[in-house]
Amino acid sequence: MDHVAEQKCPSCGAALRFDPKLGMLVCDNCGTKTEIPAELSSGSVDLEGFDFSAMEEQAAENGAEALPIYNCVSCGAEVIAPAEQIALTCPYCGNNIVLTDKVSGRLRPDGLIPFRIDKKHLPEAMNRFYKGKALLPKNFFSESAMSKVTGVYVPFWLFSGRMTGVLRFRAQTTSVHTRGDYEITEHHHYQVLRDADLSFADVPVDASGRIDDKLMDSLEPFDTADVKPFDMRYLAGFTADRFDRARDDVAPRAKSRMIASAEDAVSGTLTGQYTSVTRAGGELRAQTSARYLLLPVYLFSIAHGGKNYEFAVNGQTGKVVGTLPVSKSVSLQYFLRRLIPAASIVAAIFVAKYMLGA
Amino acid sequence: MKRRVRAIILLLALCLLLGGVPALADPLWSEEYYRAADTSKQLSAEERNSLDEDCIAFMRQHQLDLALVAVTAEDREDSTLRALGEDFYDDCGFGYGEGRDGFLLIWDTDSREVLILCFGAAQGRIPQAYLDSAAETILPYEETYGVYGVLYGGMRYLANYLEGSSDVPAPPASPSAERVGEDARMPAWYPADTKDFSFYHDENAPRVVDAADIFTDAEEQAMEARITELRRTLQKDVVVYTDVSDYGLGHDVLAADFYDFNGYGYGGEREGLCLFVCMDPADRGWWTCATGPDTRQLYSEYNANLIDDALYEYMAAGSYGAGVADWIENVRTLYVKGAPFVPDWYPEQGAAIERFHDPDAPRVTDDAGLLSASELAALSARAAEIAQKYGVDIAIHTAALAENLSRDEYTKLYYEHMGYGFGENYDGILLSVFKRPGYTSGNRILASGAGADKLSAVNQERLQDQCRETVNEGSYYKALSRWLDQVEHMERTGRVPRGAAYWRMIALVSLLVGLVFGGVSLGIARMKMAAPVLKRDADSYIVSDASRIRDLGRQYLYTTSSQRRIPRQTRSGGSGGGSSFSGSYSGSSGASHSGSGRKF
Repeated sequence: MDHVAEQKCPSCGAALRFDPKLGMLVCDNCGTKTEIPAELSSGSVDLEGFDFSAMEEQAAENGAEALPIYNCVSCGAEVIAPAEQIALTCPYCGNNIVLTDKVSGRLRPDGLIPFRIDKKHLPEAMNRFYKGKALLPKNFFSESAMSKVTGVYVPFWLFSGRMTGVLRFRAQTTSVHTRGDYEITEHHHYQVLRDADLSFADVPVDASGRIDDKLMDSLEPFDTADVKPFDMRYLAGFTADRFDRARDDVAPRAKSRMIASAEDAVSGTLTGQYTSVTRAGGELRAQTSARYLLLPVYLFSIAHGGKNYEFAVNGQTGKVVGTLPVSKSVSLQYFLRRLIPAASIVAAIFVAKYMLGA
Repeated sequence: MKRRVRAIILLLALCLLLGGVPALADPLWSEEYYRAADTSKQLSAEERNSLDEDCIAFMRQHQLDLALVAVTAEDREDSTLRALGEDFYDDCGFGYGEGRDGFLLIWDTDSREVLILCFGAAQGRIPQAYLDSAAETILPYEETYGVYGVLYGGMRYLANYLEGSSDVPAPPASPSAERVGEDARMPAWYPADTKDFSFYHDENAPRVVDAADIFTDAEEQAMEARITELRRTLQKDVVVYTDVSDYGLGHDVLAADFYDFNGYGYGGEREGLCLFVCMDPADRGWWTCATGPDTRQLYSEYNANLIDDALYEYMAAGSYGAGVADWIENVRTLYVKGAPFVPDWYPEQGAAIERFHDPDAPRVTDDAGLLSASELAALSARAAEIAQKYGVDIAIHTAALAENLSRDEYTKLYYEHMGYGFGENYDGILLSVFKRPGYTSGNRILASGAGADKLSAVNQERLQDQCRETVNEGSYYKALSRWLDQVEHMERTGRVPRGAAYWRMIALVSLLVGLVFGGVSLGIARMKMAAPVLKRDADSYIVSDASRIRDLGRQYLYTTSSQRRIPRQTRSGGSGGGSSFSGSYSGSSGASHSGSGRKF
């Protein structure tokens, strides 16, 4: 099958997987470890002006929309892959497969950040995450309660660019002085100009429509100094998605974040000098470019009280994010456990004062 | 011409209405219209009122009416000034008695023609030649004193002839004049040089100077006699001065000046009080000027208000003589007892009190009228029981005391006055409850000898607090019964137990602290459970090395401003009349005084 690539052990022929801790391909059958040479990596593809509709057409040509069937090169079984999935594990023989037709040509990512956190360390990360979350239901977390953890290379657009322009503000200073029996308050009004030129690098925006944007935003930051050129062998043992939201579709979000930061930075240069500052005009022009990266994320959910609570872990830093349930009974106990001692201490102080005759 | 006369009459009637002067119907003359009129509208309301009062005084003295009218050429139309005057006199119903005797002075301010018309018995009383020369005498006053000066001069011109005097005095300062200058007319006693004035003491100077003539002779003599007696015993001066104007100096300064420049005051500090009553119709009021450190300390803002409140009742009712006589008595009490209104038994300042024990004195006295007879008896029995059991005299006193005395001092004096206390050290405890209608109550506890042994500061505070709390609940008998129980408990155990209100307060405070602490803690815990949110900024992605923000300068647009008046002077309240108190001010001599005043 031309569109399927597999990672086989050179010693025993078993499936290889990428080990995040070692940063190498590992054979779980014979223990062989294989490095991923840098020269094997392919160069990045310029995705400037990428035509998402053309990609869709290409995906359609490849049968992606119709849930195409791939044959596992190891056992020959037929595997159904969703349109956005580019790496998966054969459910019959456990072979790790990369669907090369989805990562070639214009669909090839510029790079990726490999997983650095091993899946087996997730319970430990979750325990750190729960620490200090006093209102959590008592039986909420246990390893057994976790659903199957999926290590996913999530597609992201990373935007870089400049915000330039002159911003106009109305600012006011206030002075107070006395004249005879009167206190005079004067407000001096000014027009203030600021010329801004601010550069941003690698503002990430989630390019996958099936993953919650809030979860992905909260996973930031990713250290882009660790970006590797795209190599399919990093995907071994993980699932991976291709983008389904084009750069132009998510660019407004990136620009909006950059403009907000730029305006805050410019306004910050006025605080302290004036008693009030209001924006009066001027606009920032944005010049941006983007690159297409796959970023490592573990996804899982925990079922509690008939609801599924989604969690994500930054595969590079181990940062955990997710919505936690708040227990009413635990909240009440928490409140009473602080109210009663505090009230008792205050009452005891008064009683002591009374007993001492003060 | 009738139309013009009606217009003048309408003006007079309108003035009468606006001035609020009652049109009293006297059988001998009509007061339906003002006797002073000015169609050129150059007279102020104060000047017109003053002239009107002068005309009435003239009529009372000479039994001849007098009206003073300033008109313009427009008023005359084609008639003569005489015809206009006669119509005016007739239409207004002027004239004294059945013969409508009187004078009318009419002055055309445009042609500067002055005419004095005589009616009824007034005809022939003054030679025509004298009347014809009036213009030469009174018109020069116009330049300095305006319309008011000419009309006033005319009135004095007629009065002087009738009184046998040939001088026509210059008009007094206008009632509405601003502060006078150096060349303006001042009272005769006013020195030419106020700044380098040497103070002196004149034992024989009159202490009641009634220039406004508001007292009868009998009143004046009685006041003078009483003040002479007070001066001899107190060695403090008391001065009363009335006038029809403050000569533009203000009540406070004129009161101080009168005191400073006329030889008043005792000792080096010239101790004394001076009451100045100003009867200026436009600025009627009084000011009491205190001089000397002792007097100024006694004449505090609080005492001044009490004394002024009492005086206001008289002055507002027009009982000037009685009011000032009462003021003198209040001043005497202030000097003698340290406060203007005190009970009769209250000792004089510095008087030695001979201690004694009176076993028959009532142990519960209710001067404030807070208890029934049965309650009084029950409390007395209980107090006697405790006293007998513990050998400490126990007493309760309620007083409707004005808050011008020290409550501690009052309680101590009352204890001594009533002869409370057992043994050599007068062992005992007295509770004084102070309650005046309309005021919140207060209490003081005095302990003497062995009574103070167990009355620590804490016990005293608890006894007072619990008494106040129970009083606030509305029952004095319950409060005093409870106080006696607590005293008994204190004598028995050495401690006054806390009241239920205290423990309720502790429980409430503890609960509130717990609620706040628990609530804040819960809020912080909930914040830690916050769900993921979309990022709105990209602050952490700014490349600082490649970023810059340049200041292109600022352009001034405009300035807006607002102002508020800074309060400068403390005003104190009183029963009425716009009370004011000044802790320190100076007269024209530069000497320092304090004082208070009212309008009425």
